[in-house]
Amino acid sequence: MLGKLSLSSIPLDNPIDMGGVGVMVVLVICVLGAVTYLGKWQYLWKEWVTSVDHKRIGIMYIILAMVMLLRGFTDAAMMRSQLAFAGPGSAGYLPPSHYDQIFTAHGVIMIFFVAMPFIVGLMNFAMPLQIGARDVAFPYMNSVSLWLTAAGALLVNLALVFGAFARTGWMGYPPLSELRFSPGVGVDYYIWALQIAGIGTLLSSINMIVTVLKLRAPGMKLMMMPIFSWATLCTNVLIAVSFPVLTATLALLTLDRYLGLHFFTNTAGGDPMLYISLFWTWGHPEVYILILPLFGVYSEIVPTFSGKKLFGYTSMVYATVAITVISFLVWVHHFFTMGSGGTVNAFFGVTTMIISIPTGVKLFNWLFTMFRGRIRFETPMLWTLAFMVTFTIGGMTGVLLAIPPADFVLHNSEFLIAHFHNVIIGGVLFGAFAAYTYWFPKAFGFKLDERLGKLSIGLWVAGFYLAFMPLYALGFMGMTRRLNHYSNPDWQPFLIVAACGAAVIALGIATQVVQIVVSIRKRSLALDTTGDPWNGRTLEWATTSPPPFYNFAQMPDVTERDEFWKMKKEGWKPTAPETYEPIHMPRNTGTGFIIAFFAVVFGFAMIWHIWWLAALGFIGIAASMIIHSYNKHRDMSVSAETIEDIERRRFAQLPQQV
Amino acid sequence: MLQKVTTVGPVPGDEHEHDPGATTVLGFWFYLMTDCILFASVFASYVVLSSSTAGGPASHQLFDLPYLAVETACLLVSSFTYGLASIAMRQNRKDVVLTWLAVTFLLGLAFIGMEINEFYGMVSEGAGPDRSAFLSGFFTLVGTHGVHVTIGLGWMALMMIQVLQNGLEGANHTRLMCLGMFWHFLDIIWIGVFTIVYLSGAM
Amino acid sequence: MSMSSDTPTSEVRSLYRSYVTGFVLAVILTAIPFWLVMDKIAPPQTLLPAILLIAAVQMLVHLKYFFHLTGVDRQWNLGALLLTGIIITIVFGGTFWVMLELRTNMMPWMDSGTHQAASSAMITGINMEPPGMSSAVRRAVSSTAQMQ
Repeated sequence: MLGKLSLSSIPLDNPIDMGGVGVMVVLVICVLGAVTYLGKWQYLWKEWVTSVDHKRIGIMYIILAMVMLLRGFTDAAMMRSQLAFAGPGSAGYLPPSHYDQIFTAHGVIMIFFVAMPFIVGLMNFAMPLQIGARDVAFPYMNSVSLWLTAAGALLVNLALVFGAFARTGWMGYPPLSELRFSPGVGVDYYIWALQIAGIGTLLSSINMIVTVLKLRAPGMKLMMMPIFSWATLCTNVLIAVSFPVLTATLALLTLDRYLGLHFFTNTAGGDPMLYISLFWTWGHPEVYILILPLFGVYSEIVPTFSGKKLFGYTSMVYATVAITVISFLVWVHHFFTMGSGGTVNAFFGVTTMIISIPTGVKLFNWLFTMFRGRIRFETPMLWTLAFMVTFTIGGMTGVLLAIPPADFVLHNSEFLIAHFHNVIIGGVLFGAFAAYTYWFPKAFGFKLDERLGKLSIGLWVAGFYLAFMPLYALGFMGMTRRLNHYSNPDWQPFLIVAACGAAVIALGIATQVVQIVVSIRKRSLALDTTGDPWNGRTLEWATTSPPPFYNFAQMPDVTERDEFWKMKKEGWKPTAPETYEPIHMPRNTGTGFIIAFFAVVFGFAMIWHIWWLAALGFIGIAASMIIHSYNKHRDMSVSAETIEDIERRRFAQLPQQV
Repeated sequence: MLQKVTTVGPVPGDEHEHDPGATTVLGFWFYLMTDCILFASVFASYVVLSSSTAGGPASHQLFDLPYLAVETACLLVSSFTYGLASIAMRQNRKDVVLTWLAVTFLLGLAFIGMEINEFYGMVSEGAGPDRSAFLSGFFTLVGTHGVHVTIGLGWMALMMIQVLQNGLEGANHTRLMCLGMFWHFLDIIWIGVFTIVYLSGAM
Repeated sequence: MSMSSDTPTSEVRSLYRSYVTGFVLAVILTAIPFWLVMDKIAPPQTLLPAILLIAAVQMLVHLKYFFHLTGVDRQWNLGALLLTGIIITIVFGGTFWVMLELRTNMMPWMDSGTHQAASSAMITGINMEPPGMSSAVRRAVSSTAQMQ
């Protein structure tokens, strides 16, 4: 009746796991309680859950990412503390079967439920404003994508309560991930969470590509777009062509596990290496998907905070496109050691080295932009400077690993761990924090506290170097990844330092949490009254903070790059427009949320083999889609008078804006 | 996967948007490109595993080419009849559209019926998908195409109902265009399937 | 793409022509490979490239005569198609090349050359194990399977 699910699926005998469950349950109750106490259920449903506004959807993606960052970081802290203790003679406090789940969940959460939602959220929020559009091309589908991503995140968190998560590492390699060696539900949680979230991501990519191609403001040619919008286009093209490979690969693994097929088994002709090759065919473009938007962010922040236009716009565009294409030609470098031979390894080693060149072009362009500029060392710029140094180190270790003979020594060692955290934290995470600080005033109407911002940067940077530089040394000393305990006493001091680094990062995160609370409390002191708190160059700063739901009352007429900079030079001031026209906007809808609800039901039921419930979930999804297709009230016309009213009121009450 | 329609037309910023349906059609085209890559991955897996028969039946023992020819004919003719439905849609002739959609539907149903029959036969003689990696690849590749066709049939049935209820304007026009693209795309994939799987396997 | 009933008959006629031409060409391009394979006109080494080429041509026929890529977005349609074609070539060709090299280097007994070794591997069912490997390995493999 309930498939494999039973009361014994809840890990009551595992105190650490139940501790985690306890914290989660308490947090959920607190949040739900607070919403009830403040009477905000209707507001939340009408204004946020059912919203199809790209700005709100973007904000919700980023909130999801930040919440999941806390879970992913907890996993990291547990690993670091375990390794600090588990030297010769000690087994630490985490048994291997639990530890294996932790490093798997850490990777899955950080990549799929922190980094991906963060960048998708940033692209959602900023790109339409930058290109002078009113929303993305398919707003209802945007809502579906958001809630499907949240559904995947929910499934991963349910693994804490019911059953166990995968113990295979975040890549899920067979034969370990096959039914024979992972008969539990863990790998099934992994599969369904990723497939459901993956569909959301794929739909979102199509949405954003069409938006950039078709909804730019009149006069804005592609080569006039802000670089962040170019980065959005290239990133989403990369998502669109790479995610289907992941979908197919996971589907084949699912067939092996559920129907006893033999794609990747080690009997009856299956080939586990096929999974590895296909997985990384997706996996390498994935890491470029993560970094390209943040390269776009830096291309916005550096000119703004240097007071100078971007150096080398054309080469930036070409470099971005080059990275997009070449990222499809390097995937074997993730498994040089698996026996493909000299020719294959040489080819992919060379391409891997080549792909560092366009990134170098970008870095030099940013440096040349800063040269002879008037640099303002505010939080977004400081994050960017931290990125430049940190990412360069990580990139160089990447080029080192690109040499197959070197990789034969360093593959899957702590050196590799240090390298990819170096580029992901230095590149993606620092950029995400920079972007979040940069666009926060646009989203909410007030700036984040600057002092706490600078403090968090100091803590994060110090913590990062303390936590990860020792890992480079450990890699050279022969320590591999995913070790639960070790017997070499020389490693322990380094691991203790790394654990201290994790503690410093924890302080950095705590500072950021405090920053949010303090900034909200003190918001009346940091109001963004003009809509342009940073003296920006691109169109999003031409709106109020926050913008009205229709973004622009009048579509801007674009004649050059950095159009807003030109407008300001010609004497533009933030005032209400003189003429108004009616605007067509999409209506809110709950269908996205409802589809995702049924997706959770479907996913959970498939994981636990509750076939009747899975069928119900599937029917629910299909029915929701069909019912929505009959909805004729998808959009509404906002009258000119309403818009005029909104605009005049906004500009009149600016000093009291909250 | 992709819901049957996204919006009635891209509502935002439609001062410079003359043909909202065209945006939906463009988005659907991009979706079809991603579906191509999905099929390419499954194709690649099939080709890599095609010689891993694990002592079980191999392709030249399993494939019935005359039967395949009939299946292929059903699908190809159905693509043509959908074309006729598209032309009738341009002429706003609702009854003709419904007729040709029904014919297309029946041909597609025949295709699926024949395919299920073929699968059933293979499974009962011990050549099911769990027998070997080659057979896993075969059933999955051909089956993935079959699942897409089945979803297309469901969509087609829904469209016939919606055209009956609401005619051929606006949303239904865009939806029929997207369905048409989907249907022709599936025929293109089938060309790859019958060539790479059946014809080369039978040699 | 007008939706009204006064679509000019010349446009309708050209659409008919397009579908009929496409259909006839597709039938021919399907019949030929079927005939070539069923009647074994040439050895497989010649036939295989031939039918692949004919398939590619038929796909283009479908794209031209059935899809009608016209209108304002034609360049994006074609651009996306081109990019997808490149990616498919990379995914297909790359996967194939890498897997082939892996097989040759890591599982040489699976090549059809060594018939004896290949068939004994198939009979044991464990294709990851080269023939002649000790039973200790077999035991190790099965004990791993028992671990949860």
